[in-house]
Amino acid sequence: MTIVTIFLMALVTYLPRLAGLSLARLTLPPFWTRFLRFVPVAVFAALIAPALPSADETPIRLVAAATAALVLWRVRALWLGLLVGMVVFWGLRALYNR
Amino acid sequence: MLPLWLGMVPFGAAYAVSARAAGLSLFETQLMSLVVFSGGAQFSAAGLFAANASPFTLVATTFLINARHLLYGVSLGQLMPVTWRQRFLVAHLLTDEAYGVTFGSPARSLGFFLGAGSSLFFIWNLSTLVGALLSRLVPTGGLGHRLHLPAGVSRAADAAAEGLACPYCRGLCWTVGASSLAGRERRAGRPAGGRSRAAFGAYLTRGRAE
Repeated sequence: MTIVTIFLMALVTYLPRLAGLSLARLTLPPFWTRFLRFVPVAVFAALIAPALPSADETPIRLVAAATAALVLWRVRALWLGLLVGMVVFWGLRALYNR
Repeated sequence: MLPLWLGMVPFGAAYAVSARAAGLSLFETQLMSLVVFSGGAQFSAAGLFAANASPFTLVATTFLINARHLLYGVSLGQLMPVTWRQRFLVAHLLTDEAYGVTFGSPARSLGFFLGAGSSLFFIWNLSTLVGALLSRLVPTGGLGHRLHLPAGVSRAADAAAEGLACPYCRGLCWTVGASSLAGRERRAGRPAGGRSRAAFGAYLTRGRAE
């Protein structure tokens, strides 16, 4: 039963992925082309936002995320942004929990 | 790509540990990473399996979480030509990360996407396997304690193993992705740049408001 559920989960994940790619073959009017340009920013922002608030460490997360964003913005190196963000996050957390 | 691979390892391992803790077998845990290949959905599935949710709830939740891939597909198809046959492979490798880095890459080519997607698939499944095996070696108690790590790292490892910190790790990856995308728009001198940054600022404010 579990395996059947997993395969159904795979199906409902695969179909939207495939449907999007299939739709892309259409030539879209300019409005939709512009609309699609905002997909990454919109979706990624929506993915990040829920990770920021938490029961007890919202300020820590916000500071870490803001630092990571700042580093990224100035330096444009993915690895450095991640590293700085994680160091700030774990550092503040260790201080806070001590 | 390297930071994304590294960021994925604890996330994949934590998924596997929570899936095993939810009562899934090693095979089922790995199968999900192979055929579903979607971190967020797999994490929520592990939670739902642990709560004895009905198969309908599991499938419906997965569908809702992954409906965003429809937009990725349309967007990606506009960036690069994908043939009718290629899209079957592209569809399976389509994830937030693969889409994000391809959109942010200078070339935006199918080759880049396939390289990114398949390497992420490999890392995700490998870290699932490692996590699933490790969870068997660590029956109870904290993972970090068991490995005799320093207190701070131990807590971090515990949190990661419990899947508490990992959604945040991933959120951070996305922060990084979004800000690099915003930067890219700005460099290209498109009018969209200002709005991208505005959107990015808006979510930060939203997070602060809550």
